[in-house]
Amino acid sequence: MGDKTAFNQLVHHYRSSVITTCYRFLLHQQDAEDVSQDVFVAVYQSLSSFRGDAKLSTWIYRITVSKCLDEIKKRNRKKRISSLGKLLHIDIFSDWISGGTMPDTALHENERLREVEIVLNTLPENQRIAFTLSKIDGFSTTEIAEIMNITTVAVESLIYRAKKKTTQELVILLKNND
Amino acid sequence: MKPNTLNEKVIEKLQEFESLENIYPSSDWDYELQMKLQMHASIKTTFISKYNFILVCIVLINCGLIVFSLLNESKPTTTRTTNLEVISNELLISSI
Repeated sequence: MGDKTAFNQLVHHYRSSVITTCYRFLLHQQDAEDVSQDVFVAVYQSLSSFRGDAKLSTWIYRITVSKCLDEIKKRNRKKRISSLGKLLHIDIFSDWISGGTMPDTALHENERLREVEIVLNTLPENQRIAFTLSKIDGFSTTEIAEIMNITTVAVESLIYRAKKKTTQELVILLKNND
Repeated sequence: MKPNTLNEKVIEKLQEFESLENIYPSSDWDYELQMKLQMHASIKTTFISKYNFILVCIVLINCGLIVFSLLNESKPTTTRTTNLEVISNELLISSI
């Protein structure tokens, strides 16, 4: 009973920030809500194994980032299957294999962020994590370093490289779209 | 597109990402979380009960095999020829 109350308090405390973090990674409200729920299910399941090596918040955000990256990988896999299906003219099967949703229509709820999402997908995983977390209010470089388990200098370097690559890729993308 | 316009557009896109507003959970969020927690708990229970059932089955099969092998343990049977050979050996009777 006490565990449940404590867990409810934890959910209440971290809910907003976890959803916001998921939204920054996924750029889709419904997906962000679904993944944030999965985060708390994972937290509930492994709360007993939390050893206290890191801060509770750091541990929760680590799970959040990991779940978001899993979701992004799942999306990219769906995209690949869907593209392959289109190429081979077997859309029905590829839809079925990829889970029924057409990524092109489902993913870009926020049309104005379409280009940013495409560009973020080209970043290496660690650059994407550092860059995305740096854009969320409340995450200092030190906290990002703790979440990623690297030094603050490494975080700054990752953010710098991510910014540079994002700008370059955006220039190319917008040029091609024009 | 002119380089200046392009740069402006890039900056604009990046700023849009940076200035994304926080989102707030929908009214069903808590209910859906509770559903997911219950679902995971029931999956876990089902898994544990299935695991226990399999374990019990394995133990029962092993017990059955042990009982079966004990019941069917063949007693050393001696044929008539063997008995005669033993007697003849004891009486030092050569077969030749």
